[in-house]
Amino acid sequence: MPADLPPQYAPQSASLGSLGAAPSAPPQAVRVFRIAPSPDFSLMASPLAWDVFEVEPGVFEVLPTLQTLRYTPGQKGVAQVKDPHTGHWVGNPGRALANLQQRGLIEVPRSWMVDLFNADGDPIGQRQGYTHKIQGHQGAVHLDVFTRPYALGDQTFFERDRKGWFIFLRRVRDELLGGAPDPNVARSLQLKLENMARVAGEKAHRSPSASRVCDQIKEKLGAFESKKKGKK
Amino acid sequence: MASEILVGSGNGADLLASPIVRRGLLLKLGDRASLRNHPALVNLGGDLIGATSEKLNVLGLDGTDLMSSVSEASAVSNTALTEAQATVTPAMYRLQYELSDQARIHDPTGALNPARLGLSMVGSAMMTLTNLIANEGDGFTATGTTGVAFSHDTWIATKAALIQALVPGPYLAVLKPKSFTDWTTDLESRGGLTQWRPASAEMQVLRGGGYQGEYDGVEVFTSNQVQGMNSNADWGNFMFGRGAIGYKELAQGPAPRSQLVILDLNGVIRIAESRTESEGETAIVGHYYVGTVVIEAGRGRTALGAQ
Repeated sequence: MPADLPPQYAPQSASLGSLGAAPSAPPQAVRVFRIAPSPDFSLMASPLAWDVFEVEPGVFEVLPTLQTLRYTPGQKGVAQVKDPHTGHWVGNPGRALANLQQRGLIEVPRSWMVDLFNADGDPIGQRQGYTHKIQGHQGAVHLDVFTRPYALGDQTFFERDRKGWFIFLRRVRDELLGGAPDPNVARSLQLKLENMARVAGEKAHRSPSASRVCDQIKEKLGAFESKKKGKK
Repeated sequence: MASEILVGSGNGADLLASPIVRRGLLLKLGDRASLRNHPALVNLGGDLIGATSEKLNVLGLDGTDLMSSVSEASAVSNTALTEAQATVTPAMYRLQYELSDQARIHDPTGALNPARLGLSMVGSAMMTLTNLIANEGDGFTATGTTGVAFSHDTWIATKAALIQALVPGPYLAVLKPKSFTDWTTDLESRGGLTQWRPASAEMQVLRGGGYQGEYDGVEVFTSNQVQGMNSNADWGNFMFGRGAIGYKELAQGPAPRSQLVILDLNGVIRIAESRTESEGETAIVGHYYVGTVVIEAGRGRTALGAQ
């Protein structure tokens, strides 16, 4: 072992009393991710909330955007109740869900089976539910199953399952939101993007970043064009 | 020469402990920028009697209903009162540190004592509130578009949406540091009439560490509490006018049998110590009973910025 490694990585030995010393078993590697604790959550869909996503390089699709209702007590009407099983005080989202449903949002069923892919887009199976819990350095962390942490050195990075996420959004679109945005909502989204492209385009000749934004938005607007062509 | 007293070798070095601990402390990097005192937030008071949640009424008065012209000697019919409700549900938050008598005796930092740890908890309470506010801020109607970095166009669209929705000021923009730097990078390459006014040191002292400056009448704060959206593809930055988000902090009295009680910010944060004499340990506990609510969703916008 190189001498410049910190002492915690040096070979350990355990005393065996009069029998001398024996090398101890290597310490068990317990991976605790350095991510701040976060509560469980529900994803909420709205017939009014859509955006254009780049589902593959250069391929754009109109899909729903989801709101996250985190079960953090005290916000959005999440109440604080005692869990009868663990005795811990936890967030009860009942009232918050009712409030959001009153505003037209729909909870994505937490029991859905979701398809998962690795970073290369290869299928790695299915899982029930879109949330998962991992151990962080300060407590439990809840993530969606399309966000997978991995540790490198002393830092935590995230690998995103984009393919799985877009399959999930398509299912939300088809099973909860009637398969497509309402024509008025789609038109309003298109107008919003056209307006962004116009404003950025007016400055594109003197601002490289405005030019880049304009190009990005114009690519997104292609999602509407291909739809029109498809209809013909 | 011989027998010099040197710190690098010989007797002089033996006199020094190695490593020695520096007296005092330096604060570790972290988000300490509280939004609590910004005038765009509505403080809903400190009392909650008879229930664990409180309903707020929002009424359409003072000019939202126009009068009808009527002919001579004609009665006017009733106009229905426009109303809406929001509900705030506060929750109890706590934080505890516990230290032994030995830790206090040998403490080289000056921070291992109930009073200093108690004051630290005031900061923890403020950041808890800021986190709750950021959780409210990602639920407004979205401006910008997913996967595109926060740009000046997103800023203009967000402010325009607030103005078009008749939202009164003062406006507050809360941006993830990444989105803020994306925006300032973009802003630098644009020409225009409106000037970015970075925060002066004095204003940062007044407004707190997260205050970055003011642009076009909107105060800009950065906060690491801003939440991720769209499976963490975007940041849920937000801009809102007064009346969009409110918070309620319940006032607390001193607890019985406590030697130290700090009641900060009009008594909404209570910090007390609890002594276990047989173990020689002192626990310092902070209590903060707080909730946030979106009072009127039309007064805010969530401004997407790519992560």
